[in-house]
Amino acid sequence: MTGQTRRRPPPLPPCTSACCATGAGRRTVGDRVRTTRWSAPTGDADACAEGTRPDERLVLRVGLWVEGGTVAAARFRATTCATLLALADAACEWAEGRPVAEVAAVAPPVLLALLPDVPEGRRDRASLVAAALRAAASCVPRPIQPPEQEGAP
Amino acid sequence: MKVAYIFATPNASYILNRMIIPQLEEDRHGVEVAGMFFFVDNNFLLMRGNPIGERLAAVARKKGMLLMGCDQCVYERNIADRLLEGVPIGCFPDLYKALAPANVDQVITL
Repeated sequence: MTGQTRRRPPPLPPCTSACCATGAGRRTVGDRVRTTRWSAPTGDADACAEGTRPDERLVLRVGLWVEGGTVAAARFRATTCATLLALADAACEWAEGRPVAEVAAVAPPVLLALLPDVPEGRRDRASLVAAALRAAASCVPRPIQPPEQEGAP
Repeated sequence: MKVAYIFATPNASYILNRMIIPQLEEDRHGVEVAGMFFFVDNNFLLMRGNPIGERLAAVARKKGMLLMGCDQCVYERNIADRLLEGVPIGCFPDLYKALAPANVDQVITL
């Protein structure tokens, strides 16, 4: 960054679902639909990309904040499809702390494994989420390498 | 006339069990029901083993009637994996898409 203050991702709101209240730990689709914690503005992200499915007018925008080749934070905005929201929420949580290269290669089964209770008829949403996540990770600016000096071995 | 029912109130089980299902079974409901959509706690009717739901599913299979649960309501109740066989979940876009070919005359909210 040149002379600009790096903008931080929006903070995560506290979890109010039963997963935390009961100590169950794992969030179900229902938990994530009730509180989509990773849903937040993505405008300040280091990298941002959109996935769409025009036939159903579904849109998902994913923003990534990156530090040293690792996804420090991920946030999303999506059209109001409950399954899409839940999968996007799970995907952003999954992406945080992972190398950008791993996020850039994510496949739908990885995301579906996070939410095994997504029913068969709705599992296609994972393709849209994975595509948006991959696209965002592929947009991450690469660090500028210092130029090689002439005559260097 | 073709109708679709949207069950959005706590009266759904009573109306279904005591009026609509018996009339459909007896072929005297008076209209063709293209589909039914279930909101909030009415989705519990669509769970496997629910006597009203099982009876409704049998009528739906016989008459080619759509049954659909609200996906968000189903998720929030953690029953997505316990619905009657072949009952999809979705939201308004899915409902309208599914009902479009039926050219419904009336959508009745109960």
